[in-house]
Amino acid sequence: MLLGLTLDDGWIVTELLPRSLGQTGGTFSCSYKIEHPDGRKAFLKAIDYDMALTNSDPAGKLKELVDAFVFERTIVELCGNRKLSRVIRAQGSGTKTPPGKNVVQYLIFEMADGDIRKQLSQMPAFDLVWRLRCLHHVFVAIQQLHGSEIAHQDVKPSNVLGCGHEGHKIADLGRSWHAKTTSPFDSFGCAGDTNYAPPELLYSGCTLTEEERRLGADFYALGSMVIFMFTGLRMTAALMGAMPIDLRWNRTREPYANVLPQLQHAFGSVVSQLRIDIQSDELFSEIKLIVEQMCNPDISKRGDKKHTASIGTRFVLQRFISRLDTLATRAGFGKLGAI
Amino acid sequence: MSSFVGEKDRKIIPRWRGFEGSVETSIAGHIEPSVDVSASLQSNIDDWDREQSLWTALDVVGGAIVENRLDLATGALDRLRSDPRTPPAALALVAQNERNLTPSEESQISIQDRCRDQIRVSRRRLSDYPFDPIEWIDLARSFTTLGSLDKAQRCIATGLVLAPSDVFVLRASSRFYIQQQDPERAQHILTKAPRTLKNPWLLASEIAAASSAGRESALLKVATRLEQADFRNEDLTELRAAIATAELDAGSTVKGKKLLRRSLRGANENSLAQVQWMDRTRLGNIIDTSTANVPDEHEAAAWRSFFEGKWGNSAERALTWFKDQPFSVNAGIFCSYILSGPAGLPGQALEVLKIALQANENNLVLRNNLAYTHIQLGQLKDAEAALASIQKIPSSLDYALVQATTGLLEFRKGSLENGRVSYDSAIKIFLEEGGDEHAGRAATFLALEEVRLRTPESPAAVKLAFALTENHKRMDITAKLQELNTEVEHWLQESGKTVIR
Repeated sequence: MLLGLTLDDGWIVTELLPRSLGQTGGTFSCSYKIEHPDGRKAFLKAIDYDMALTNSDPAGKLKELVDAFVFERTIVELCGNRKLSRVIRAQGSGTKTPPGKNVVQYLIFEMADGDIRKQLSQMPAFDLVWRLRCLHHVFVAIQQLHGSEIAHQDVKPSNVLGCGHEGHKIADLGRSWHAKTTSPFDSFGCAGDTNYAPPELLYSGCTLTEEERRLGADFYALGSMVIFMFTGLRMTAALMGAMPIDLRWNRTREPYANVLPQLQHAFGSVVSQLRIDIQSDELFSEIKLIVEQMCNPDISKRGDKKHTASIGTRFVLQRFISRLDTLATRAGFGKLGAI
Repeated sequence: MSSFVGEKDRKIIPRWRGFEGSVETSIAGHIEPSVDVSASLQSNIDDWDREQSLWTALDVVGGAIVENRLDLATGALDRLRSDPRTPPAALALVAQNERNLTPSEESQISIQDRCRDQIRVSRRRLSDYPFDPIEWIDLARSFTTLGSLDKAQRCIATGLVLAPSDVFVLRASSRFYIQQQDPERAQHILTKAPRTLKNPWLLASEIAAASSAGRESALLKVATRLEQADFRNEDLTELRAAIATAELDAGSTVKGKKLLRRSLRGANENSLAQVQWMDRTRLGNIIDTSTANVPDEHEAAAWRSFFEGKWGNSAERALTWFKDQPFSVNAGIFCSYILSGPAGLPGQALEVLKIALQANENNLVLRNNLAYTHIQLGQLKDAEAALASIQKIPSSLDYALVQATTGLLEFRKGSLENGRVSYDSAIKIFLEEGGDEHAGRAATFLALEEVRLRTPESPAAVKLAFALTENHKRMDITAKLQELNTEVEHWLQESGKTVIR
């Protein structure tokens, strides 16, 4: 659609990137690599309105796409204005009309090296410091967003991008929630990727506060990233894998409260399995504590309760970030023992 | 003389299995999952197709597990299994998922070793994460099986605090207190849980617990309404059997029969055993239970084979029943009876009794069966010790049972007169208390001992045995009588006589 075209500010669209790249519901968007004559490279996300016109409800679909695009643009601009260092920076936005086609709207982001799955696959050996530092960066990214009243709602490995010497940044705010901006996904039971979603959003019948629904889901996703770093599996998969088949979210009508004991059993099993990969007792107890507080299947047990009394919310990341920072530093000095 | 229970009184007490073994049978509200692949999983699959690295493989396997679609991730799974860099925990979690998808196989190691292993695993898991109610209940089960009942009770209490309205936790806890001879508490746990009013599995357990406590459940009306509600037959089968039992106990034969027949739809091994038992003891074999298609019917099949005189088959099924519920008094008693008696496998009976007595240390019938088994094995001192260890004899029928075994022991020790006195006393009490079949069995045992020793008292003993077993219907007594006949024939051949006088 845009391949080979030159955009208004001089960017040249050089390569169509594979469609999904882990994007949730990105069926109507295309990704491109773009290059500037001054040597800069960037990533372009374009909305394909033509594809929407083939939908059975083109007007409805168009409205949905426009709303989603406008929302994402608003959020990335907000992040840019607030200089959130751990969120992929937007470098601009605009429109382009390819010959014989309808207008295309796009967002330009800084170019990353690839997501952490690719980076992990290219690593020759297990690098504990790298993993802890990466987790630290992701936690900081979400803290920055929460500080701007934004919940990401779609934290997953494919949305954590390596950015060279800058470390890791979080991408794809398309499914996020902002306290002061209406998103087309606000009414969704689960705005992000259901396959990474916390159990309270997968099972029915759970009454949640806005804070629990949004920030609680981010906490779960961060805990899930910790599990992913050490076991390679996301928490939802580890939980569902440990659940008897008839109690899995897509096999039962039992409400959340009724399956919670079984989810706790599955969670206990996942925590125990962590021992297989983490031999160091000190590291295990630290990681266990983080995982327990970040992604406990019982939403009421999630978060840092020490903060509830002082600042009125338990969804505060500061202590987890400090812990990860300390762990990464200690691991760097070889003080965490063999993993 | 060994004995068994289950003839006079069977309640549909919930089975207590480890969580993994029990969940398929106690969950209401199944739905068929969508066969469509979500955009998320499709995106994982696309990423994997494009870049077949270890970490994209892990991602696609993760997505496939969440959606129960591992069939779409076979390539990625192969990669995980073959790549030495795969985190071992990922392999363990995948293996656990596969275990949860396939029926568990019977472990070859002994029940006690398995329990000790399970206790080790549960303790480690609970030290890592103590907020897991299911694990506490599983630990309680292992402790119960090994007879550490105080520890088991503490685990049950913790499980109930962590999950006071979970079906598995409530049913297991109720079962534990029935095991502890505390049916009032077993009922109270269920009555106070609000979920009991809405859940057929819990209601069935409540009715059974009430019935074990010797009273009628106050929730019978609720149960009758719920029995007609929109649940799967599989979820209602135990409730129907429980109401049917209560109705038949109250004399409502028509309602009871209807409910028993309905209970066969979606029956499980527990409800089938209940229907079969009610039918045999109360209705006179009028219900065709062959229509029930129950995969692992241990107890029902063991009883059926018993009444058909197929001892080998009955012993085999009884052992499976016992392995499934190793703390169950009924399973222990029946299994030891069939093994030490009709099946002629006293060595195995001894193993069963050692395990069963751990959870039911003071059970009179088990101790009596232990003594009988030792006698069968020629271990007379052990038999004496087993009889001496019986501390409390609650009823005269129990006393008669012990007297009969004592009689056998005395005979084997060579104290014939003492043996006769014991047997005579046992037979007299059995007859006085309406235990005619037991009296017939005791008389047959006595006659066998007399004839084997060719004593002058043999003719009288044989006559008494035949007289008291004239109207019996049980195949085990028939087998014993055949044994007596054979022994008598040998004696007649030896002495050249044709009739015993």
